[in-house]
Amino acid sequence: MAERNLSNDLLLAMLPLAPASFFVLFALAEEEKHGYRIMQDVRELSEGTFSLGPATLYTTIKKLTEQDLISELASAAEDRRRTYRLTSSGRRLLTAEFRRQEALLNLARSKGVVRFGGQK
Amino acid sequence: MNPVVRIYCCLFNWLLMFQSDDLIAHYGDDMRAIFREEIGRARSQGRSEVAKVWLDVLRETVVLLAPVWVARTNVVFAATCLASLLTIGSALGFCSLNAIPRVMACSKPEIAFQDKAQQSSEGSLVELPDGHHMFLECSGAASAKQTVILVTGRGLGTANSWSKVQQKVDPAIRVCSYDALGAGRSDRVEGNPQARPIDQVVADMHGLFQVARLTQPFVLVGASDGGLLSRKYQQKYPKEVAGLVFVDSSHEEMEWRDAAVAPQFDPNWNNPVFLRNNGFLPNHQKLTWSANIPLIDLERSEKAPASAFPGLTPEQVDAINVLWHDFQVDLSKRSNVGQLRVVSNSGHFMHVDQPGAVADAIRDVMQQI
Repeated sequence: MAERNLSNDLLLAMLPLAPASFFVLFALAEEEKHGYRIMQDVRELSEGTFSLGPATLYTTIKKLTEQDLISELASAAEDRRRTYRLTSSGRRLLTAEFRRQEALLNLARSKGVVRFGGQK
Repeated sequence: MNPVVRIYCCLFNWLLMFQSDDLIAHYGDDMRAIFREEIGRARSQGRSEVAKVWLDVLRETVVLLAPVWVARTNVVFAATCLASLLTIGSALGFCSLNAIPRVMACSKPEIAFQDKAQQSSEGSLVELPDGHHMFLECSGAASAKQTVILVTGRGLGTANSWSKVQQKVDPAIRVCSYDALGAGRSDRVEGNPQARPIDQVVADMHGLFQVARLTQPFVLVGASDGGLLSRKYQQKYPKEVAGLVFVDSSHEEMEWRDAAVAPQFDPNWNNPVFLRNNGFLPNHQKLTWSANIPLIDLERSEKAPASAFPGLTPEQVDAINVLWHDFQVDLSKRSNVGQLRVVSNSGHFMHVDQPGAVADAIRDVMQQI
């Protein structure tokens, strides 16, 4: 299926991402995954601070699919589980979100309001 | 499957029913499969993990469904408000779903009676000296020596509300109806036309009749508050008016007399501006007007039901109805040749329900002139 390439403006308008969308995209950044794997990886990526229930997971998957940020792969005959992958728009959006977070961290650093690691 | 897991799955399935049909149709099986896997993993890790899974499931059910519930509650709330408004509005006379017979004098903006023949008769816009245009529609013999004028500007509706009467009047009689300024096909005016002071409305009428060169003398026919308007006009221009027909007319003393039996009936009953602008008399002041000219007062036969006056006790409704009858008797005696006629099967909208009776009264007044 041909992917719609979302414009940068449209992507920027989606920022900041809601935690559920962010973690689902984050989990899929590595490789394509099925639903349960996404759920587990989100818990791991957030170090247990954020967990998705089945309904939240699939509500998010449905929304991201409709926005062309992720896409469903044609399932292999032997595996009934549906797998998902990031689209190029989804990847660009995730990158933009990380950049936004990075800029915020840099700002916090430059203002000296938060200290990270060995920073004085 | 383990019976405990089976129970868990049934519970989850039940919670899932609250989610949107769309989500269930697309991902129902996936969600159930994931829950089964997740609860299996949690059970192997101990009770606290199982509790955590359930907590997540319950939390997401609330979080996902709360906006839907709020939206639905809003729709129900909005529908309730609308229904209440319509009920209260129609009960108090601000709006109506059909013509409800009422004792209370109404100021109805417009009652549309579509009548092609009426629309195509001699209606035209007349320019007043102040530049406003008023719609005037006359029928019957143009050579007649008097003009019957169906009064609007207070009371019920526009020229259209008189169309049935105008059709029933003997063609030998010249009869005119018009739209007051701010209503129907006449020019708009600033503010609510029903709040236009009655003296100004009388001046508009006079200007219209002059410019349109209506043949004097006039017989004025006023329904509801239109009765007050007719009397005001006669008082100001007595030489122009040769006869009067009151159609279930209001009375100048009604605000304070009604308030005496039901103080909650009209909150404006003691508001001097409201009273002055609408031609009602202040507390305890009596009507001095009289005119010894042919006059017929038509009274409704059907009394207003208690349901027409929410907030009033049955005794108060009875008292209001008795007062209304007294008003009609009083008005009929304001002329030494006055008559009172109770029109059978009629309510407050007598000129719509029984136009023939109004046309008969017009004919009888004309014969006495």
